[in-house]
Amino acid sequence: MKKDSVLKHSVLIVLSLIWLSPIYLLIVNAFANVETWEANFDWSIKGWNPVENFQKAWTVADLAPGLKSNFFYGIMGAGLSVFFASLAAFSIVALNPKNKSLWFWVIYAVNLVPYQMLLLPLFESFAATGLYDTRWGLLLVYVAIAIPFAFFLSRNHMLSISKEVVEASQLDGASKMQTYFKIFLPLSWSALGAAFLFQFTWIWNDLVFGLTLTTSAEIRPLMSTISTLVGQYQNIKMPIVLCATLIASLPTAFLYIVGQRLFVAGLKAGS
Amino acid sequence: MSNKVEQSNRLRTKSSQPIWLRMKRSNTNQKRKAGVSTYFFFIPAIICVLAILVYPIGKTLYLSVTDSEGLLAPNFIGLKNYQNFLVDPVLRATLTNVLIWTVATLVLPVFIGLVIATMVSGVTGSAVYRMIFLLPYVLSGVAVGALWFNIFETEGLLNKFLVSVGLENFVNSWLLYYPQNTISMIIAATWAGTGLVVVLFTVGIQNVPLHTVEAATIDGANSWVLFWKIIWPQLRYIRAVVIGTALANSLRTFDIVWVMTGGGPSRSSETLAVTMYREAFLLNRYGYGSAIAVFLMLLVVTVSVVSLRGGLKKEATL
Repeated sequence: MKKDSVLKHSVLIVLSLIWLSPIYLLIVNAFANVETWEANFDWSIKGWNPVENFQKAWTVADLAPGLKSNFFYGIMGAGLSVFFASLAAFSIVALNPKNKSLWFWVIYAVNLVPYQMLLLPLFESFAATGLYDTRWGLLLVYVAIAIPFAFFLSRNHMLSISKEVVEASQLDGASKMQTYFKIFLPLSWSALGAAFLFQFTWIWNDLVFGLTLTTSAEIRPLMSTISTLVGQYQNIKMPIVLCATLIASLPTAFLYIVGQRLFVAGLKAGS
Repeated sequence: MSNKVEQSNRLRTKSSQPIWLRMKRSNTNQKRKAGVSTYFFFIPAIICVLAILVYPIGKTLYLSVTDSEGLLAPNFIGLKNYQNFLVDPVLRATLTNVLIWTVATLVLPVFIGLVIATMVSGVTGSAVYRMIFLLPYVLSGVAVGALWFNIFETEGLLNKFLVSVGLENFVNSWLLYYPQNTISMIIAATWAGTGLVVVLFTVGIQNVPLHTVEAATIDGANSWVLFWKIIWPQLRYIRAVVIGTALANSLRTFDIVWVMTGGGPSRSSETLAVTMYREAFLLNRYGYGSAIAVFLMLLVVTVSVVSLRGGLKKEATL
């Protein structure tokens, strides 16, 4: 057993180092001295100005409104999509509806479409319906795009919930809603938690839908803000851009650190 | 057949009810409530999905049989766009790239992710390891693209590293030639995407009932046997999610190629999504771009249906 774990740790440490070396490059170059920065990334540490670069990124890129919007899009988008997806998954798994496959593929359909294909038609229909440059319009897109993966994940996780538990609860007179809230929701906590984290991150890092469907600073999500500012001011150098994206990634990184414990521990308690 | 199974399930149900359910029954003893319809649970998801899909898909299908270039009113030209697409001399290279992406995505992030998830589970410091592999996933595509472009550039970090350790012979113009440009980008995508697979398989492994693992351990199973006989079969549901998602995403590969090579040089690293985007948005050939979009959509639908169908059918009797 001991030999086993020594071997495991050595392999894992080697893999971790491989995975961390690009992160090292990212941080070294994000904190490099902007004044002496030349066009390319470097392995060596050329200046170490984390605080200064972070401050510059924060003020130049004007990240505050984008951050605020992102929390709205991330929490609402991931929350609603996971909730809607888990309802549909519950029905397919536990309630035995007719035409299961049809329902599955309709809800899964967004995952089969190239997203670039949606951009122009969505822009058109949003402009026509007054959804263009509104929070709720962009949120609708995020929820819809986040649903298929959350649905697929929760459905497959729910398939592993014993059929006997479901039938027992139905024999006991539990309504469908009660079966969902009292049995399926608690037992799917880990999968739903993971789905929430992934969809939150996807929405948080979205660039292209934000660029296409919004224009004002208060509505526009964070990554779209950062990318347009880079285009506007040619003199913003790479370290500042990298620092801006690092600031933007802090909330998601924090969420994973907290969330990972929650969904791993939650599962152990549940099973 | 299925009736018999159902009956036997019912019979088992009676004897194997958890205590809390039996207690509850003695309290309430009510009949099953009618409640909401089975289909009510689909409504929110279906509304969202249809709201953003119906018009775009309809519009794309329509444009794909026109000569739309944005400014003038489009003319109906039948299947001409599809014909042009099929005789595009670069089509074969593009499809080869899509195939390479798809196979490589199944082999690299999925396999490496499974290995890491299995090794990490139960090891001290597992949360730290998982976080390390997840870090790239947390970063935005902007940062990941800029980083890996600078690594693989001809004057970039990888070549500098090779020179400094005396491996000048391996110095290469990674992004300028086929096929190493596609391979380089696959490495970048593997770095970025493995964390997701690790977490998904971790969720699956956590869900394996502890007593099955303990029983096997008591029977003297080593970790190899333990994995293949106990854990692997119980990962079947999560495996379908990982593979299904990997297939759909790799067929639609766009972001990382667009950021790192733009599909070049001379279209050698293009994928179908990149071809479509370039035609529609850079050259304003909306009609032609839409035809490629329709083709790509059909490809993803076919591959997904074929790969998931077997699994779905088996579960239908559940």
